[in-house]
Amino acid sequence: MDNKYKKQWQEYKEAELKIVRPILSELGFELDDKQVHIGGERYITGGKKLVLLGKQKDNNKKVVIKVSRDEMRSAEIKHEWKCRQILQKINFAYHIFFTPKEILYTKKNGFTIFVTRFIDQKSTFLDRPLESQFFLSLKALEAQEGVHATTYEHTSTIKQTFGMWNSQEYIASFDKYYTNTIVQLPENIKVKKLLTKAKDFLSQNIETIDLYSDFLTHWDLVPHNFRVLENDIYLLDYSSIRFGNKYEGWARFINFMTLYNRPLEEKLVEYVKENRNEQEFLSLQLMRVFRLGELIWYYANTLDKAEGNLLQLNKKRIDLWANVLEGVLENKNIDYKIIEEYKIDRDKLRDEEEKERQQDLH
Amino acid sequence: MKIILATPLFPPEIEALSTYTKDLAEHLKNDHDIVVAAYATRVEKMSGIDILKINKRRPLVVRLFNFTVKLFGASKGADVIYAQNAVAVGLPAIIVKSLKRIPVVINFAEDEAWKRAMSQNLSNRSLVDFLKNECPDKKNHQIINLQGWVLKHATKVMVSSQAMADIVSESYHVPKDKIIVNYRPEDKVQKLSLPVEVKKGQIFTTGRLVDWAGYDRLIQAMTKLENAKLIIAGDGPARKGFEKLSKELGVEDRVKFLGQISRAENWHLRKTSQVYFANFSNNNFLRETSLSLLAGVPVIAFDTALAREILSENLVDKNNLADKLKTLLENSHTKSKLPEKFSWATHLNKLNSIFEGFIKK
Repeated sequence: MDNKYKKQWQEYKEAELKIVRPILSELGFELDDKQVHIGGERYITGGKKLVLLGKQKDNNKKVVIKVSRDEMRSAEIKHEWKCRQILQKINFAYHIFFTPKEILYTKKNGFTIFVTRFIDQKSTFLDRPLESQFFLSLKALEAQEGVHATTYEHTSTIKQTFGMWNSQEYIASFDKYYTNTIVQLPENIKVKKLLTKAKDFLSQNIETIDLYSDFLTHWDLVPHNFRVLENDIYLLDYSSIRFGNKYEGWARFINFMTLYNRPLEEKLVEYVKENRNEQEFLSLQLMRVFRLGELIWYYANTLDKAEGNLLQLNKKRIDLWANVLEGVLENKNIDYKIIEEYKIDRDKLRDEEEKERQQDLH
Repeated sequence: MKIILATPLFPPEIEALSTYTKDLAEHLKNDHDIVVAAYATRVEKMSGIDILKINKRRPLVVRLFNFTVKLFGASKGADVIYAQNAVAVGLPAIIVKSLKRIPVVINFAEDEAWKRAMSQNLSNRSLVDFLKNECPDKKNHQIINLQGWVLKHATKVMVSSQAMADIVSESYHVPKDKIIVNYRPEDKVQKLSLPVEVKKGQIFTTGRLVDWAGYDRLIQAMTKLENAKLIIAGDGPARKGFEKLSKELGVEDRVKFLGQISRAENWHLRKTSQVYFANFSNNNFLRETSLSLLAGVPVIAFDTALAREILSENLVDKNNLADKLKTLLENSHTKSKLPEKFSWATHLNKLNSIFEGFIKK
């Protein structure tokens, strides 16, 4: 154990598991021996919340348990629980998204505990054929666009629960990413130049950002946050939903695919280009830039906590996403070679626990 | 002519009515002075067209009042108000008509009360049955009454099929000479970079899964079509029953229920299927049928007045559905074509002749 953050996380999770296990048992749940979601690089993100796997004792069915006694993380769990309730009330996307069944939401001995049914998919999203991935992606993305917070009745219901973002929030957040990243990476001239360009690009297109705002968007729509059974999409993470630019969810998904599935990335970008108007295509580009700036900021902030291979890997991640940002700003595809070389480095630098955590994640 | 397009929806809203209004404004702007009045906080701009925005984020009564005031102001020198529904914009349009004697054409593309009842699962009846029966929901009852009042006071009511004209005439007591049939133009091709290979034996259908839509007969027909595969997209209260029926008949391996699907997949399935089965579950019947014809897939439907209006062939009854499907599946070269009445040219000609009629008077 050579890293103090890793050590702290290890101590935290062991201590919490010791206390929470009997509480969960009393509530009728048994934890699995192996807990992949709290291993690997999880310590980097910090956050005193555990996502655990287990089963319901009376029927032996698999469940997902989110648990915390930290004030902020408990509030996060409660928020997610509340979001699920509200989305069902507003006839969310005509039920295009399915919701894993809620088994229990409670507070016990200072812990906030939220248990839902585990959705066992036959194959991961990325293991499906490209055509199936393409159509499922569009289904998930279109479902979000179908909810537009435009009327008085809608706005009053959702504003407090989900938050509403327009250009003001996007620009203010990007300013934060810019400033923090420059402080973290004072010598990285390329990143500084790119983020400056990105900041200007966003500021010059406020009108377009606003035009496509007020739509429901899942800003962390990536395969590990949903599961697919037959043709039904089960949304696992409800805490990352807000009303914002409708292409924010698209942007996160497409940026993810830049690394994990280039053909799908290209197909989705092409789809928007060919089937929607120019301003919508610009909106997608703006949101991709926004999310890439955030990603670079995220990894820049991990450098203080990381050591050894992970430090090296996160520096490579910053370089990778800077290259992608450069391409997106110029509306050009990033060279396949850059991605492939990064993947080789990543696989060399990832530790075994993280590799295990990644298995079946997407 | 100065034409005001009054609409409850305008892009970036994605509904069909929203894109229709924008496309229409684009088509009309070279020959007319076009003003769009829309409930919206932000809209996609259009060169050469004034778009008046009425903030939706106000209580219902306030936004109706604001819309009426803006419409009244914009109507100075206007020759016609073309309203895109009979409630949110139809009511303000009729008020302005009564004050300024400007003709109002209501585009009755869909029945708001029925649409609301279906989406909120308040009713699973067909439009005709829904309007014939007393509606238990108070708000829907009010919408029906309001629609009826607006339609009766409109100068003309435009509908997208003769079948809808009959419904409007019978249920809302609108004089027949006031109703004009003008088919909705269909040109929404999806551009997809996927291989298009027609799958032998594939039958596709989509719509709301309700008991009276005809899917049970289609599933029953599958017992006689050994090599066929049926894909059903859409959802509804009868889905579980249809899935059960498929199992009971032993065709569950060849009948696939997809639930809701994307626009792209909807299009791709049309392009790769040998036959499209048009059901009668809602007034999207026309839209789904015209889209299928645009995609070139042969359409089969039960022989009803509405189906006869659109299709010149492949009209069946429950006794010959399987045989006709078999014939279509055996003839893999059959292609369909979208009739001219679904083109923008025909639609605009008819609209222009309605509008010009007001000038002559």
